[in-house]
Amino acid sequence: MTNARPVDVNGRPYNRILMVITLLTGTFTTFLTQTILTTAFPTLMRDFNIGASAVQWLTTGFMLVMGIMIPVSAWLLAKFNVKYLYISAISLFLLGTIICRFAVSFPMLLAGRLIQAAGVGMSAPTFQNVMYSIFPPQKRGSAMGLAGIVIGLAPAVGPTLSGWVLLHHGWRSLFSIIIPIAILVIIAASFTMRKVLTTTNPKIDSISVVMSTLGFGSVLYGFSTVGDRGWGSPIVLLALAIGVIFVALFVYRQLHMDTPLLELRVFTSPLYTLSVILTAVAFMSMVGVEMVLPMYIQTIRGESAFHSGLILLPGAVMMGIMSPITGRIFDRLGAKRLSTTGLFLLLVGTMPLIAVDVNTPIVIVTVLYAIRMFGITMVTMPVTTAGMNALPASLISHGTAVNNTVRQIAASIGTAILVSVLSVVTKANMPGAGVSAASAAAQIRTATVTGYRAAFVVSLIFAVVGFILATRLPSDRIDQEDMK
Amino acid sequence: MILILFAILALAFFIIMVFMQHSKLRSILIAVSGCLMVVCAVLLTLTMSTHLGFQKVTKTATVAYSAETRVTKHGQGASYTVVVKSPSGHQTKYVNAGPDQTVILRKGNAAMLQSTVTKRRAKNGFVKFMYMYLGLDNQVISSHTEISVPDWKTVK
Repeated sequence: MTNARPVDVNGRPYNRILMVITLLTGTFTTFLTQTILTTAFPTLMRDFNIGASAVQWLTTGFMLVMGIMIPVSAWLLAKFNVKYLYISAISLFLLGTIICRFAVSFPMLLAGRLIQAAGVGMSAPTFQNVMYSIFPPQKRGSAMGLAGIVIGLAPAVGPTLSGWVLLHHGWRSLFSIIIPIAILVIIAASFTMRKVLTTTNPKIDSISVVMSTLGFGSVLYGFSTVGDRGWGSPIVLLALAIGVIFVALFVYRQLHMDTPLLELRVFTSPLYTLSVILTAVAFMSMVGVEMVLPMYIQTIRGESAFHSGLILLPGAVMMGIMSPITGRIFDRLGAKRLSTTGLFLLLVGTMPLIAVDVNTPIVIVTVLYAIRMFGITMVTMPVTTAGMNALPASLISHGTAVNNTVRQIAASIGTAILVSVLSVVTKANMPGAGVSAASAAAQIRTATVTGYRAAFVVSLIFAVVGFILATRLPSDRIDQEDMK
Repeated sequence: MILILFAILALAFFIIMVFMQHSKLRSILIAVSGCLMVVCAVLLTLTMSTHLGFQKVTKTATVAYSAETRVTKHGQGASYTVVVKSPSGHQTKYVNAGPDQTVILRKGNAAMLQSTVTKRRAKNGFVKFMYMYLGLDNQVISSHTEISVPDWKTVK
């Protein structure tokens, strides 16, 4: 039965492999753009004569728009043919990329970047939903393992790739290389994609859209600016307060509507709820360290962004190799064995990082990071898929949207916590007045290292919490059979 | 070696946890590999934070230069480099970079170099074996060099 040629909702057969290749290529390209620009920030600051806080908007704005688009994705998927939705998303992404490529001013570059983000915010949930829908539940692990290659690997190789490109070419070439790939994906999608999800023509609740945009947008903005402004900043507090109020109103409204924009009743499934929490905690640990470790390598060890990318590349490659393997294992066993193993490896791989100093051999950082990624691959995709498998097919688009939104917020909270711990501990250990210039420099370095150590302690705590939560997952099939 | 062991243990732990059927052997292997991983992680943590297994060794050396030795000082202020060129053409560079790496150049009748180098050395062969190729053994902690020469050339 599973070897039969798959058919779309109209009963027409299609080539699943070609469809998956198209989706993987498109998603890899869109996810690559999330991190590809960070290495070019110094060049952009010089070319457009802007400061660090302005250039940061290329990342903050990208994440904000993406975060706003994700909750709406469930409605988009229910309303429109997935084929045209995906083509529209990649076309929007292409338009944004072209605007960025030919940007003559910073506002134009930022506008292009935000359009790109809208495309990514639409294409990412579409990709996940299609992957969940075109594979039967017993093969979803393998499918999501493939998805894990692009979702995990693409953002990780972004800085290394852009660092290498920038060694030989200008920042515009970062967009030039994406344009032909996006065009090819659009052409391929028009031939290989099919309507594989049923549409229902739901009405959009504009009040929910406004609440979701203001709520999730403000929460994401608040957490993403904590690193620069600090927890006491009125702007941060105001953004978080507005965000929490609107998210609460949004939740209340969704729970009292017949056809909500985002079906929050997905949380009535205990396994789904546990999977969302567990993935969020693992993501907080992963994304926070992915942000802080390159900072340590660049600021304390004096390495370039390109070299820092190379140092962390084995970890990304490890994720790429392990993702399909863990996917297949998940299909055979389930999520518990994998996730407890993964979180244990994450825990022991993070522990030595709490003692890094200015002389720590870089190879130690590389190996620890690779072990961490080895562990994380066993957690994120298998646990997410286990949660999705607990939902009925009609709720998968909502489950994906909720999961992606929570993940996005968890990533920004994790980063905000780690960056603020780093900043607070560093400030607390700074030398006082009356210290000679020579010893002040050494003390500042020590204070910064202490800050990094504290940030890694927080990441270790996330790993411990995740490990405890993973033990609450239901036993795998193999263990249930053994118990019988 | 400790990193190779750590990576092998991670792989072994993964294989045992995921692929082995429920049995007493599985439980024992999980406990052993898990405990060894924790031991490796704790050892790495302690080595990096308290330099467990390593000791400081300070060596002082005095070298007399021949009269034909040429000394050139490159740079000014707190960061500079002193290049000592022997009559055979061999060049040695000494960098003044912060309180742990100082080079003092002074005028003296006899050309000579006095150096005090403190290194971190493994306490025994086992530690040396476990941390080989990591650059922790023989790591220079501080180096203070004093070069006395009748005269030198300064390049700004």
